Amino acid sequence: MPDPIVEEPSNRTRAKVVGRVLRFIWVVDCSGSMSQDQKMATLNTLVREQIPEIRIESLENSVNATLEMQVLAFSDGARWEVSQPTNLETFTWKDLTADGVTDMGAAFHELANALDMSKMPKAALAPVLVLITDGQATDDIKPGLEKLLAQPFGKKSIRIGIGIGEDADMDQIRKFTSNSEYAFHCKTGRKLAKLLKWVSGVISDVSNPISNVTNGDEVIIRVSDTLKADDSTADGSFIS
Amino acid sequence: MNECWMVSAHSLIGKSHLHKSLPNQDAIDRFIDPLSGCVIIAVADGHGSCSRSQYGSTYAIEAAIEELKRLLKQFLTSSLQPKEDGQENQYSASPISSLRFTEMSRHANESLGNAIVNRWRASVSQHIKDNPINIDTQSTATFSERVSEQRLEYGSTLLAAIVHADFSLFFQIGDGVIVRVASDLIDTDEVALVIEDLRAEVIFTGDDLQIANATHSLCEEDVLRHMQVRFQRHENSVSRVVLLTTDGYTNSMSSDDFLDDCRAYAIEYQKYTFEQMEAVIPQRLQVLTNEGSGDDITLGMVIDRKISPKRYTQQESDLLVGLSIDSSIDPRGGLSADPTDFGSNLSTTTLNRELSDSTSLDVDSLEPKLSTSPIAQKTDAVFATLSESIDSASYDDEPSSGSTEHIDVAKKKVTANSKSILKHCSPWRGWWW
Repeated sequence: MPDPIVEEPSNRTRAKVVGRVLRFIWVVDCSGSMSQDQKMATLNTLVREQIPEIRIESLENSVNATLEMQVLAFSDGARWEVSQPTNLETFTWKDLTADGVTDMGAAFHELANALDMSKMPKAALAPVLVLITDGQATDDIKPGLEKLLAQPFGKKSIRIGIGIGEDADMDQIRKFTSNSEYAFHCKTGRKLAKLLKWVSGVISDVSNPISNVTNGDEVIIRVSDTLKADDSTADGSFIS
Repeated sequence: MNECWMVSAHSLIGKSHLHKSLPNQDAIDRFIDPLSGCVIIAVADGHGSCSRSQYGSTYAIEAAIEELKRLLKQFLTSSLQPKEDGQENQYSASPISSLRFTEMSRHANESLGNAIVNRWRASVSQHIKDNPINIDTQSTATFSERVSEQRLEYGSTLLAAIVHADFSLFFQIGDGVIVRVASDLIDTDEVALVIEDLRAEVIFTGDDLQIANATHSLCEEDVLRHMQVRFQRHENSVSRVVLLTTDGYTNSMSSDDFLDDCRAYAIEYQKYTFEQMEAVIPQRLQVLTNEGSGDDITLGMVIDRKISPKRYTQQESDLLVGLSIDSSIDPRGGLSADPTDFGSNLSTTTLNRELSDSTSLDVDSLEPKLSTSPIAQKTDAVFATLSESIDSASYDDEPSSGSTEHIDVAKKKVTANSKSILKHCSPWRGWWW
């Protein structure tokens, strides 16, 4: 007589297995001055070209994390260009246009709302926020910034600031960044391209689950000397 | 005498740790109190950002188990009476009085945390003394400040529990989850649970600081502020499964799915034997780290033996206490789950520490079991392979000038994990490294 078939338990849990989520938000100055000197055109081109590179980098190095992107623009007030967190697999960059003033404070208010605990997945990784601006805020940034940093995920976020062109207010940008090392003054398109490549590496570092103590040092992401160096051109123009 | 419980304990190295050549920084161990039949179980998660957290997590579970054993001895087993026929180890427990419960609860809330933390700090201090961390000789920090700073490298969470039919005691520092799956108390030995009978209760909720990989830790100066203790008396409910897990598990699924998963374990242990479940749990954890969090995953469960479909004899009690720790290349090593090795008296944790801490390890002087253990055999095999590759690299890269550059090149060709193994092996083997 053949042995009776013995049912074995499954080698998978009943629960649906999901990876962790990394929210990445582009926060872009769309004020009128960004249309000068090819700044917005260069930004649009470089970010659009970098998205596939970020995709490849995260596939190779981001262990099981799902990268979701959003785009927040600010000029006269702040508006979401991509409000729904969008999986990197399907995310495409839509060119931004420049017109209006520089309501950076309004953008910080919107970021604070987006990072509210009720809107974030429980096991979300530290969000990455990249602020790109060429000037100085025309509204008061303090209330919005305080609101952002009062959010647990706002406080834990990796905040990077890129000042484009000669007139960028780096002191203001440094108030936003999570580490003074993450504030970059970028006077050429060439350096902007390098910075965007560096951002791809940041995503890989943040997306791997290395725990740290709540009040301990934040995870430090290395910044090379090349990125810290001044990149002015002879005629002061912002060229690719 | 373990008449009430089955104990499952598994720890698996995370996919991302393998990717980054980090060891398994989780730890787990369990102890069955022979007099009261209580199970003590402890789980710890060493922080990835701390260079010695695999030691921190090991010391954490050892500290918890020792202090919980002391608590049991002080408040519970001292009240046990030998049976009238005077047979050794045949004790019958007198009912635990309300006063006894009150005393245990008070001790747990007022003293237990301090005792565990102090014991952990002592272990860490001893390890630092035996294995100094490079310090800045120009530093103006005081001695105690330097000790506190060095202790940070051992950061770990800790989850621990005593499980008894009439009460449970839970303790937690940092992230991870303890869940008690229970059903109503019914006056019958026949148990036929359905999922609706089961309630899954998360014992402690975390605070808002414990997000985005951040957690409270034993290494914090004010750790006692963040410690959570709960003593529960069970008068109307029965513990069917108590689970302790590191966050690698819970970060691999939604919160609701996790609680459903916990309840499902009770149903599965009613349907399948302990041995059948032990065979699949490591595979489940592997799926979770591969497709989910990517982190080390550790799961400890204490299961009510009455729900099992198989009736185990008293002699088989030791078979119902399992332990497996992922034995990937890891300086702490780990015994693979050996189905014929249940109930070993040699604590796996102690074994791991002996191998990783000793700077003059003489295998033959340790217990015979150690010298023939999978750990020593694996370490020998790894060492042999690595020494061949280093020799080969040196030969290939040796410059004609006769400098020692080729040795540096060879060293760089060895992975971080390999270096770590060699660091522990080298004095033993007289390696020139």
